[in-house]
Amino acid sequence: MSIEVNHLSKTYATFKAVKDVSLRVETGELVALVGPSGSGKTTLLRSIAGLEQPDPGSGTILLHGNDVAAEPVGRRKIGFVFQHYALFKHMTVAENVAFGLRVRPWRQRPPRREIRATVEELLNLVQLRGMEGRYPSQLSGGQRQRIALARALATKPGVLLLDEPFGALDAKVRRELRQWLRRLHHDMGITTLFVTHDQEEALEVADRVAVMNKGVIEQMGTPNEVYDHPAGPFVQMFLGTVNLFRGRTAEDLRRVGGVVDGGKTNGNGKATAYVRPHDVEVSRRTDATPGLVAEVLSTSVAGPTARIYLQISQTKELVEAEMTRERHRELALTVGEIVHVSWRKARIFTDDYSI
Amino acid sequence: MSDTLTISTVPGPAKWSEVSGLLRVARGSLTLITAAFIGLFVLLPLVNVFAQAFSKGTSSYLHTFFAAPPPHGAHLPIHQKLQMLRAASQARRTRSAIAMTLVVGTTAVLFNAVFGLAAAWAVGKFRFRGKTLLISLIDLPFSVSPVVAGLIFVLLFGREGVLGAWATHLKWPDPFSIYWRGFSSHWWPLAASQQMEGIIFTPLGIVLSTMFVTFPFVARALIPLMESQGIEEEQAALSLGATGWQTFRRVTLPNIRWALLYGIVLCTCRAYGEFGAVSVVSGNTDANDTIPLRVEKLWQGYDTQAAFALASLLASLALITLLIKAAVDWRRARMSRAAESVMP
Repeated sequence: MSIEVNHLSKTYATFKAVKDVSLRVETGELVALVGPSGSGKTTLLRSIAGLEQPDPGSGTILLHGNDVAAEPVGRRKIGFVFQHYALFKHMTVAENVAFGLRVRPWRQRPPRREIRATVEELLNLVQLRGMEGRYPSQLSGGQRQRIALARALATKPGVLLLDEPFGALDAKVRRELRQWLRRLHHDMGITTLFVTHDQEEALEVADRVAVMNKGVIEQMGTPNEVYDHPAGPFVQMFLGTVNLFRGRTAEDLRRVGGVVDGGKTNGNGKATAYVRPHDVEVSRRTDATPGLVAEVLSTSVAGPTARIYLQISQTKELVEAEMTRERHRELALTVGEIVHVSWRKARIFTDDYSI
Repeated sequence: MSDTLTISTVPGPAKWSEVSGLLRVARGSLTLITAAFIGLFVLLPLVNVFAQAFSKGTSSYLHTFFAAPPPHGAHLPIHQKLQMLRAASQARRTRSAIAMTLVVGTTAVLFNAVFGLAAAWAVGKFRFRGKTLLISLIDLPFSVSPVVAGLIFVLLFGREGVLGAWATHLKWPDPFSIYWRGFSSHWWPLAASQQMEGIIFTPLGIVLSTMFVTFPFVARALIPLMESQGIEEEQAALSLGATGWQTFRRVTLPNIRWALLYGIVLCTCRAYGEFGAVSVVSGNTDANDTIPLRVEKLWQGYDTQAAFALASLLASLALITLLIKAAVDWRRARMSRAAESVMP
C-alpha cells in the first residue's frame, strides 16, 4: 500500500505545524521523516494515521490511491506505534497483541485458535516467545516497544507508521532495534513511514529520507543523496557535523578554499561554505599553498580517526577537521602551530538563499 | 594527617545519635498525639453509638425496626394496647426511612457515577476553553453548606420559586408503585399506578439535593488519574480498529475501575448520611424521612436507644466503606509493587 500526501497543512491555533507538504511513499518502501523537534514531522505522521485532523480543505491523503479524509483512524488499515508504547497496562502481552483481532465485529473475527496462532507467530517474529503471560510493567523498554510493534502488525495493516519508535530507549538498545527493524522490514516488505529526530538513525535504516524543517520537507532522497548532495544549508547542517566558512562573496570563498561541489549561489551577497570535517585539508604552511591560515587549538585521537580543532586566524572561526590516524602521525601537528586549511569538497550557499 | 582524621570523624556519630534520639522522641510523640486524637474523636464516639444502641439489649435493638408482636391470646389493658400500636407505627416509620435512604441514595449515586465519569473524562482527556472554570464548578458543592444547597432548590422549585409554577405541578411516577404490565399492546412493560406531584417536599427534591451535595466525589476521585493516564492508550485502541464503546469498555474503564469504585463508595456514604440539604427540602413530613432525619426525630422524642440503633446502621456503613477503601488501597499498593519488579 502506498502513501501519498498532497499539499497538506495543519494549524494549531496560530502555529502552522505543517505547511503545504507533499510526500509520496511507494509500496514496500521504508521512509524516515527526520527533523528537529517542532519541525512538524509527528503532526504529519499523525495526520496520515487520522489521529489529527488536517486543516479543512488543505489537501488530500491517499492510501493505496484512496482518499481517506473521511475515514476514521480505525478504518485506514494502518498500524501505529507510539513513542511511549501505549500498551494496555491491564492486559497481558498476549491480550495486547490479540486486541486488534478481538475487537473486530464477530463476523470478521477469526476463531480463538487462529488468534492464538497469530499471537504466537508475532511473538516469534519480535523474538519475545514465552512472554505471553507477562504484563507490560514486567518488560524492559525495548521489549515493550517490540510488543507494541507486534500489536500493530496483528491486524495485517497495509502501512506501518512509527512515531519516534526508539526515542525512549537507551543508546545500545536503540542501535540493536534499528538493525532489527531494518531486517523486519526486509522480511515483511510492509510500507513503513517512521519519524525520528536522530539523523544517524534515519540515514542508517531508511530507503529514503525526508528532511523536515519548520513544517516543510526541505529535501527527500536516498540517504546518500541527502548526505552528499544536500539541497540547502539546513539539510547540510542537520545531517552530521559541518564547518562553516563565511566569506564576503561566493567568489571569495571559491578562490580561497579549493574545490567547490554544488550548492546554490545568486548575486554577490554574503556566502557561506559548508564543509564536512573529513573534507577539511590541513597542511604545513608554505607561501605557495592556497587556503586560510589557522592555529591548531587541540587534537584528539579516538579509534581510527583523529580530530583536529583549529581556529582561523583572520575570522576567529572554529573549524573541526577529521583525518586518518596515519595522516595525523605524518603531519605531527603540535598545539599552537600555524597551518593552512583548505577543503577537498565544499558546498557554497549565499546567505539570502532560501527554499 | 592521622590527627585530622581522628578529630573530624569522632564528633560525627555522637551528633548523629543525638539527632536520631530527637527523631525518635518526635516520632513517638507525634504518633501518640495522632492516636489519642483519633481515639477520642473517632473511635470513642463510634463505640458509643453501638453501646447506646444495644443499651437495652438485643431484643430492644431489633424492636426499633420490627415492633414486638402482642403476646398471643392476651387481653391487654387499653394503655398497653395503645403503647404497642405506637411502637408498631414508630418501627414502620423507621423502616420507611431506611427504604427511602436506600432508594434516594442509590439513585443519586447512580446518576453521580455517570455524571462524574463524564465530567472527569471531559476534564482529564480533552482540552477546551473554560476547563479551569469547570473544575472549580465541580468542587462548588464541597464549599457550599448543605443547608444552603437545600435552600437553593427551595428557591428554585418552591411555590414562590423561579421555576415554581412549573415545578409544583410537575407529575412523575411513584417508583414504589411501578408494576409489570407486560408487552401486550405496550412497547414498554413497566407502568406506575400512582403519580407524585411537585419537586420540593417530595422524594424527587431529596434526590436532587443529595445529588448536588455528593456530585464531586466520583469526579474528584477520577480526574487526577485520568489526567495522568493521557489518551495514548485510547488512541492505540482506536488505531487497532476498536469502536468508541469498545475503547471505553476494554481500555478506559479497566484503567480507572479502582478509582471509580473508590469514588462510588465515598459518594454512597455521603449520600446515605446527608442531613442538611435533605432536611430543608423534605418538608419535615414522616413520609419523606431518610435515616438521618429519622434519627433526629427519634432523638427529639427522647427515644435515645432507638435513635442510636438507627444511627448504628450508618456507622456500620462507614465501617464497610473503610474496609472497601483498605482493600482498594492494598490492591493498588500490590499493583505498583508488581510494576516495580521489572524484568530485565
